[in-house]
Amino acid sequence: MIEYNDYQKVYLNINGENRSVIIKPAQTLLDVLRSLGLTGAKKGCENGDCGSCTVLINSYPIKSCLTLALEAVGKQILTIEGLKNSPFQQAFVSHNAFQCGYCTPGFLLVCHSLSIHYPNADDQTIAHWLQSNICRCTCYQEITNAVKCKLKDILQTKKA
Amino acid sequence: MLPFDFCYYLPRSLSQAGSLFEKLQKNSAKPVFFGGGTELISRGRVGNITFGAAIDVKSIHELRQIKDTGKEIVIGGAVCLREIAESNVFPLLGAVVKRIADNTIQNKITLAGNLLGGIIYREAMLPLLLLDAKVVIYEKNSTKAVGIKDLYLKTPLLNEGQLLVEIRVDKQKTCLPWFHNKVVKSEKIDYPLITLCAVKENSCIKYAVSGLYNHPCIIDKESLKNIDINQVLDDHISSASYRVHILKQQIQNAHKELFS
Ligand code: FES
Ligand code: FES
Repeated sequence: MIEYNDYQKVYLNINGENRSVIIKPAQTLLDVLRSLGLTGAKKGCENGDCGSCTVLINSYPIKSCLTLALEAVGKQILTIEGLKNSPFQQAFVSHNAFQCGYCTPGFLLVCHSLSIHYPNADDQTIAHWLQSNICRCTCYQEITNAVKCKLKDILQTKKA
Repeated sequence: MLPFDFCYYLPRSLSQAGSLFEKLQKNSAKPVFFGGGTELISRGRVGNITFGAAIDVKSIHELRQIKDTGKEIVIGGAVCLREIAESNVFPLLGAVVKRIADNTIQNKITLAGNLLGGIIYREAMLPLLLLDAKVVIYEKNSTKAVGIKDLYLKTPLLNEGQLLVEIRVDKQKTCLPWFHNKVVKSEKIDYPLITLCAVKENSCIKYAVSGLYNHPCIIDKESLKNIDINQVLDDHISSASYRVHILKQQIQNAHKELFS
């Protein structure tokens, strides 16, 4: 049985790199990521409602404000900083899918995970996934357009 | 960060988790079993609860399995809602859990978390009530199976130190024709105004509802006639009379759909 009390050194696999961190059980993953300078995951509600803190664990989106950092030991964590050249990033730009950008890292990670697990996602599935995140600038239509367009592109490229 | 310190344990077996809980309790260490942890973290952060030890049960094999034994469908307490929906082993339960919280949180909330947590709606309970599920509980080095109907009105559902290992349902019953609808006030992601589940067995429909009272329950024609409006939830989401109106409307919809 593994036991952690007080500060202890552990390894977190973040964006493909093993990072050693000294943490205590009360720290959320969001706190730890931000303390490492990975500030793409944002503090919004810290209550699981807004999705601005979303990161991927083993390719699925989770809200890092509701996850203890210790829960992520031994898993693959992907933050927006590690999402290099995702096709969705360009799609968000070309569809004007953000204004202030606070929600954008969370949305991009959700889209990335969606494209891994449901590359053929229908409108209902896309809506279901996007409902996990809130955009205070209300770019919902633009975000949906960007996602649909990019999923279609990815599928067509695969077929070709 | 949670505003209090605690120890975090990762037991690998039921017996490790059980004896650890007993030991910590004896030492007044205020242990809790930690599954998805969403409620413990959110309530802990705002000072609603504190605990001295979190026993993370997600590494215990029995709690993580989804099994089809041929006779029964078995789902472990630490299986997350997304895994239940994707497995499609119990389609009605899958449909229900897909509407609990949002898609991202469904990767974290566990079956046991929804059934045992402090949020009164416990929608995952509805299919289990309709299909007379058994709940397997671990306590003091032994497991026992209890009918969900003997349990669902208890608060809290389990005693301190009891661990929900798995739920079991008759596989044949999971194939019965079913209906599910969650009516919310305005946003799609919200607590239910009314969530209704129904199954049809031998031309007879059974209903279970969440959002009517402060606990999920089975409802039949008789209890529908005798609803005590003073017991019905009356809050910022909806008045009691509107909830009853929606319930009756949903029952009609279920009836129409299941007999069409
Ligand atoms: S900060 Fe995590 S969901 Fe809002
Ligand atoms: S772009 Fe401002 S919150 Fe979404």
